[in-house]
Amino acid sequence: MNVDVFDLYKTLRQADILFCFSGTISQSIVEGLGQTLRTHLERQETSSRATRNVFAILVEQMQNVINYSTENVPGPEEEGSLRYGIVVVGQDNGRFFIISGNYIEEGAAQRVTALLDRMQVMDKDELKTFYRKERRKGHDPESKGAGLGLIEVARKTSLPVEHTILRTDNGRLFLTIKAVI
Amino acid sequence: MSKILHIEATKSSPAILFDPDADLLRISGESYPENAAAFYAPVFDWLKEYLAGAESGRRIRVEMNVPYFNSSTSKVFLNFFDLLEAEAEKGIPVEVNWSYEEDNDTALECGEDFQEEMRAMTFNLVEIPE
Repeated sequence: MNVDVFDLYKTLRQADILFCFSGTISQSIVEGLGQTLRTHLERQETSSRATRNVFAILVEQMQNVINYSTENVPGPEEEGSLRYGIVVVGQDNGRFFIISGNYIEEGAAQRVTALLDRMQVMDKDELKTFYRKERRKGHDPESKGAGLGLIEVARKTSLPVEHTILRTDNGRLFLTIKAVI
Repeated sequence: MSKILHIEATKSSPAILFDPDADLLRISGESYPENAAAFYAPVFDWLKEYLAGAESGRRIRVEMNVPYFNSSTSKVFLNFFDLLEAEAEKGIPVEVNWSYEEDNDTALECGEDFQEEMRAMTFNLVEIPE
């Protein structure tokens, strides 16, 4: 085994990471991590609004991984999706951040970039109007609802949502999204 | 004639109790299923059948207590309220009571986001004291 787990653990602890999950994400992971995170934040006496925001953003980001990661573990539909991704929740200067990462298709990457760029300049009222308008729209066959999810994330952050798209040597795209509360 | 629709709550989906005799539709609990459209499909089937069997003098009451819901549920709830709004526009009284815990301002704001979309129905925001 080439991974130095202790080194990884120390790095994450020193960076004030509450948790980091890398691997196959499913709905039951969303439920379990979400509940543990809520309990953790409540025990730290985090404000109930911050706790709700961290939880809501975590759910949206993890469900985006479940819907959009290109690393799929195929199986019967009724069992739900199982897809690879990484999710990190931490604290930096008293602010919570939630980062997700997963491989993504070219078209989806372009839509994410266009949407996040568009929202960079919006204030909270404009985001609310935009959210309501997008919610009213008919079902977009290209989207599994991630558009609304990202707007929801942007509505709950104190800073614009950051993202990076890394193109790997073999031409695959890796998306990261960072939300700061 | 529709029968009672009863779906038990799970960690990420609410309890649903729709009673056609009482004209009462109740949704309570958090809603963030993996696939909200699929989860709520039977609920919409039931609702459409119930609304099609209109009875005179019907007054529809909807009790919602959903402390948290995800974005895909949000879209489903808007469709749900739209169906009921269409009934209200036809003159059938529809009352929605959107309950939220006193310290959950997020749930209040979510209720307001729906309230502002509705015209014909009565949409109440009901605070539950701690």
